[in-house]
Amino acid sequence: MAFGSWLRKNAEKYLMEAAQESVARRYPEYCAESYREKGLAHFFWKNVFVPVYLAIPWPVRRKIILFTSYPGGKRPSWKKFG
Amino acid sequence: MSSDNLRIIIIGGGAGGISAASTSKTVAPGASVTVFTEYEDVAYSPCGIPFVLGKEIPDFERLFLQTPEHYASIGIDLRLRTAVTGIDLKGRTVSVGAEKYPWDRLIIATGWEYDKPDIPGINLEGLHYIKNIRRAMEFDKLLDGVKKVVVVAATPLGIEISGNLAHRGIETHLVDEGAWLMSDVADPDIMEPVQKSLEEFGTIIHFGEKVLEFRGRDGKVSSVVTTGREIECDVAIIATHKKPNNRISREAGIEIGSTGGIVVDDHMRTSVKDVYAAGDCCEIIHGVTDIPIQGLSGSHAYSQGRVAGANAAGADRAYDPVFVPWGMVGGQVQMGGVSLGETLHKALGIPHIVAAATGISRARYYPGVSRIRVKLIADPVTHRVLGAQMSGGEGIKERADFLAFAIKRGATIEDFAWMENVYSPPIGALMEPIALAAQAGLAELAKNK
Ligand SMILES: Cc1cc2nc3c(=O)[nH]c(=O)nc-3n(C[C@H](O)[C@H](O)[C@H](O)COP(=O)(O)OP(=O)(O)OC[C@H]3O[C@@H](n4cnc5c(N)ncnc54)[C@H](O)[C@@H]3O)c2cc1C
Repeated sequence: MAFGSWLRKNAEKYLMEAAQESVARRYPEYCAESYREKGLAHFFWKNVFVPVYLAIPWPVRRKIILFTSYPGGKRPSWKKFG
Repeated sequence: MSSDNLRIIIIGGGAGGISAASTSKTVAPGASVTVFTEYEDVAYSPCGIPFVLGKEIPDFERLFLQTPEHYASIGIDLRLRTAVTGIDLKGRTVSVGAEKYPWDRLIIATGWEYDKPDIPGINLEGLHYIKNIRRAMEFDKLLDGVKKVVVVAATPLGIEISGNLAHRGIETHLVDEGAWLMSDVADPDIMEPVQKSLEEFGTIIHFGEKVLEFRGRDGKVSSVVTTGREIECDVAIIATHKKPNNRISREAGIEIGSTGGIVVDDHMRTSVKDVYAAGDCCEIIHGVTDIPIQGLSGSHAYSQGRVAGANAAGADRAYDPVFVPWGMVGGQVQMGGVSLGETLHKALGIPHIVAAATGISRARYYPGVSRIRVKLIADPVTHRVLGAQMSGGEGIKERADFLAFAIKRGATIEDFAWMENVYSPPIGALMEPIALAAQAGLAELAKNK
């Protein structure tokens, strides 16, 4: 798996899990408990990667995501809305 | 090259491939257009399959939109049951086994497949994937003798199938690792009425459980083992996430992005000259975040196919980044939205405020009135609305389409709070639920000042 895909797959999984936990705390009446894997790798992504990622300001983070999304960071031409 | 002599080959006969073929033929009537599909049929609506299985729609025949003869009559050469085994980019051919077919323009629309879990028992008989209509027809007959079914994953397809099979009177178990339905895309407060409705239909939902194994007897599935229990069943349905079906494109050397989808530009051009792609095999730019995403809907595949088909035939059409209006029914409740919900905003760490309210679909006294929950997500600085989610008894699709249109044009919380709306007792309440949510948003913004 290419680095970009590997990073995205893991980042998505653990950021999603952290977000789901936060949302579940906000709406406890609508939530059961999620299944969560355990282990060293999970510990790293959850306790190191997620907080570091979320500490970076969104505009910078967005640039990093875009850069790692394409080999060489070169995005094909698309209209911009944001 | 004159567009009249073009040889256009399309791999895929789903929404993306068929719309590409028809549009190519319209733009360049003299071009030769050939569609290869490994399936037995084209031009049917897979989206209707769960509802035929649930006996909401009486038969599969209604799902066919066109016949192969129709395509032959407009000059499209359909090669059914024909799998393309390779793409030669230098020699500009595709191969079907030993045979080679030359192209001047190639459109790849190979779609998606279910993400097959890599667990013991995955090759047992009795595990089903709902996609191809012929397999669905066979499955429908089999279901007449089925008493218990397990559906794996509360994805949109998992929810539709579970509700429909429970409606058919089959004991239906839905197993998911998440804490609520569609927890990867939707928010729990939005999905709660859907969950209730599925349960009223008889669906038994097991949240927070991972499927570990399929157990069988005589080579056929007899139970599903999860982290929480073992559920006996006659059949199991795998409704896991859609992943792009890109083996032959990857092998050919076409650029694949971080989502696993083919990288395309706004003209549906791939990294290789004269090669286009459309539909669920591609990744597309998200209009709000600018990030490529993958696994959209049949309506997106259809529109992308039209753009790819037109451009391959010599036109110059662009496809905009997507704001992804979506909507569906679970049990008897409609749900939908646009762009990202609260959970995904949190996951990406995008600064946002949440503006939510519950309104009604018609005048409060009018028979058939139902509750509608609307949640808008907005930028706390510009007040631009970035996304929305909703659920309720009616009118969700229309609100999702309207919100997508308005969000694409930069509408703010203030715009929605002061929007004009229709009031007519049988079809609309005095207070539009979207406006109510936006007014709650104004209050939220005032608090944060
Ligand atoms: C049960 C179900 C319900 C759905 N509900 C909805 C809904 O409510 N709303 C909605 O918008 N969408 C819905 N969809 C549509 C779906 O989610 C997809 O977005 C849509 O099918 C994508 O179309 P596509 O043409 O990109 O790919 P696909 O439909 O996957 O088509 C791929 C085509 O490629 C062909 N193919 C692949 N590889 C090869 C090869 N090597 N050689 C030859 N042919 C090949 C296949 O035979 C097929 O014809 C539903 C789908 C299903 C199955």
